[in-house]
Amino acid sequence: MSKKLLFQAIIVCCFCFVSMVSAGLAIAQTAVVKGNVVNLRSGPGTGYAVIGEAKQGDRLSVLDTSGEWSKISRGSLTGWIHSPLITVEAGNQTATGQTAVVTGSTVRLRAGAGTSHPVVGEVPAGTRLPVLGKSGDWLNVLLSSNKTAWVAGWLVRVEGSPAPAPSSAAPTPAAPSGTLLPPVQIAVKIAVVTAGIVNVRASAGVSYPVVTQVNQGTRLAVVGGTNDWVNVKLNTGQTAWIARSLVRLEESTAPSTPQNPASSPPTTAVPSPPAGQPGQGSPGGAEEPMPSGYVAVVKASSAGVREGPGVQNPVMCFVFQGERFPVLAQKDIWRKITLSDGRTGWVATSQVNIEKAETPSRDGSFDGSWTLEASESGGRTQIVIKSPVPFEYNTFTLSGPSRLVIDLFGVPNTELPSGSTPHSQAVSQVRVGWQSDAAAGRVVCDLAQGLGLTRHRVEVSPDRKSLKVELWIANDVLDGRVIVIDPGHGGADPGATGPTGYKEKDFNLQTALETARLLRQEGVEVILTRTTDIRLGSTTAEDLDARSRIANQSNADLFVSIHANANLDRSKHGTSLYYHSHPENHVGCAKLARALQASLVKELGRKDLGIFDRQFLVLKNLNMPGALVETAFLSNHEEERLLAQDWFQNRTAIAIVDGIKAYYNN
Amino acid sequence: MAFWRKGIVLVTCLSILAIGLVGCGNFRQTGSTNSIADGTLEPTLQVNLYFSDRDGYLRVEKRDLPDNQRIMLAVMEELVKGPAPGSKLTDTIPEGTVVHSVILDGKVAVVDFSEEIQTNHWGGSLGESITLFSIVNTLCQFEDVERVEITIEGEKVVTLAGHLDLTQPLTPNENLVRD
Ligand SMILES: [Zn+2]
Repeated sequence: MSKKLLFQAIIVCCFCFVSMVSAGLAIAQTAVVKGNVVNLRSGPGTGYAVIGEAKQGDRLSVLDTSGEWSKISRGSLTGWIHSPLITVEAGNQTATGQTAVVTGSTVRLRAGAGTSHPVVGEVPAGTRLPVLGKSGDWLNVLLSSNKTAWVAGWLVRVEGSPAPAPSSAAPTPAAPSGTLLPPVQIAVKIAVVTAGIVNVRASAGVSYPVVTQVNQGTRLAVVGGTNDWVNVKLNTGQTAWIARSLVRLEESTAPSTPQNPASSPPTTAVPSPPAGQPGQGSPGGAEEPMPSGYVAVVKASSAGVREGPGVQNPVMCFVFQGERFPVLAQKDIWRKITLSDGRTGWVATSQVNIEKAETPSRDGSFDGSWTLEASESGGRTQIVIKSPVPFEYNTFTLSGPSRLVIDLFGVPNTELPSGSTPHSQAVSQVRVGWQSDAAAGRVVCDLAQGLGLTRHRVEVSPDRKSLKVELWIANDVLDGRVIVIDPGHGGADPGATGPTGYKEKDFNLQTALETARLLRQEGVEVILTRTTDIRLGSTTAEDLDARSRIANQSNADLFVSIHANANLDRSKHGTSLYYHSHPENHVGCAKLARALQASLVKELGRKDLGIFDRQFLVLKNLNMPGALVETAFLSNHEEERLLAQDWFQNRTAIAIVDGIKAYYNN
Repeated sequence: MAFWRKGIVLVTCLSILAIGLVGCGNFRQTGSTNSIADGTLEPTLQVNLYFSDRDGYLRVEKRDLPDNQRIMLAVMEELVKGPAPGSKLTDTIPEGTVVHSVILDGKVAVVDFSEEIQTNHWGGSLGESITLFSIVNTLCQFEDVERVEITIEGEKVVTLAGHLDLTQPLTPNENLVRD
């Protein structure tokens, strides 16, 4: 049979390919950054210009050394770093001198070698990725973000030797590049929205749900992309996708080194605006200059920047919470700021906080230490942590006594901010310490009441220099939870179809919308994977992948997928629940399935078929407990009639809400 | 209750070909034979086929098949044909489906079906499970097979009907089987 021969031929090809790759391994060195935040310079010495920075733990490829300095590369950036600030290792993350060129149309990047590992990104055809190693027929590749990922060997072409300049063979993609470019001044890409109001979507394609909308002029940090879509970071910290044709890509300096620091007090009242800038209407009275070193930090979720001081002036763009801009001048309630593209505009003081700017010192260490402020409003305790340099964080809860721990990686190891005793409803005391083994700041909130009732929510500013932690005593078990409701199938995939033609995708969607409505009434933040009759992607594989990705990106607490069952024999009927026992969170999944099944059987009165542990794709990659509801059998005449009716869908939704409550109560 | 395990697979080795018994340690003689056109008799093997009962569980139907090199393909072809006339069991494979090939890759049997197995499928978590595990349980009765990978028209597939993960070869499911 010819198919058999073809299959064998493919297997033989794979083996040839893998042995080709392993033959080409050459050892390069990896530098791990030891210092807190370390400058990258254009040459080997402090006399050279700073062209970027690296954070503690960053992994960089070492290209060369000169005296006490090492030449390193990170993505498309090459630069010099002071050798005492790095640890050089010749470990497994070494370049092979080979480049994988993506041949499949859009190729997934995964966290491990195999399709069972979570998808961490996608790259378009033509993308060139340095190969670090291999496992089976999977290749470990280096991304421009300096992270590593795995790509299937059969979807790439491996090219032999390291290319010193971009190859002409493949189109240069927007995202990762495997070739090393000459030193550039800039490390961060910014997408500037060029169209009026633009949809931002959960994934790269118009079929994905809209997660938010952004206005013209909005500036978003680029974290990746395909040929047609740009992966951007929102001010919520989430990433999302925006069409490439609707943005202009710009390069910007790293967030910690503002492009236009107000280094000396302006000698004239108003610096003249850049050419092409519309004149500012400032009818009554002149604007006053501001002393240097002040920044406006946006405190509203978004604020309009106007061409002049007053609401009669047109809005030129929007700025977002946490963004910082040097202040040039003031007039009444208006402050004139310099945007990161060099233009100037006016914001109202009600939208911003005016703060003294920190200026970086020469060596990459920063003046100023991190700060902590605790306040109480509306029954919620708010803790704001600010650092002069970007930092990463991790939160976890401990019991006996109940406390919330926030570890801060990358904040300066300087004098610690003092703790606080807010005497709030939720927090009795806030303590601050330094974890020298982890080189991290630690904030501990001692919780006033039992852990079960205290909720917290963490929000990080886009520049990662400010963290807001909110703690409160929840009204009930659902208040403040984030829950993903997933209506199964959709669009070209109808799921099962009943004997009279009622479709599973329609039941799933109607019931999910009703479930979301009821959960929102309980104070739940509901995320629906779809709200219309669509498939999330062009194939079922893409669709299922997008659903779990939406859940993981939203850091949800729970995932509930809604389906209707089917069997060839129409006599089969009843309710069942499916879960996927992960090694890490199987307890939660089984508990969720049990709670939902009990509630559905009680509320709907259909036959109890039980709960089943099965390898379901939509549940497989979830970072939180998840379960899939098979409400009743669409293939059964009686149950099809039930499933199609509003009241049955409403009862199903009530049962799911009750089941979730029961899950949290036990 | 490992009723489907290899050791219990009932198999025929033809009594006339006594020498054939030596290589068939696992198989039990049943005495049945198949006539071949040239008048010789071919050995047969009694195999388990997993079909669905009315309640959505898998049950075994035994069938004698010629014991030769294409036994795995033959067993899949029999599964596609469905239960014997008059049986209380029902089909597990959608109408119109053709088995293209069964290839052994180590201990993994790779079965390739025509697209009808997907386009004509009735869906549902149960419906999908029954189809897949009737295939997997049936093939895993052979000692050489530990896991089963399903391909459609020669292509790897991620899922059959949108629920079960097919990116990894499947192992048999005993919980779906009733005696
Ligand atoms: Zn379904």
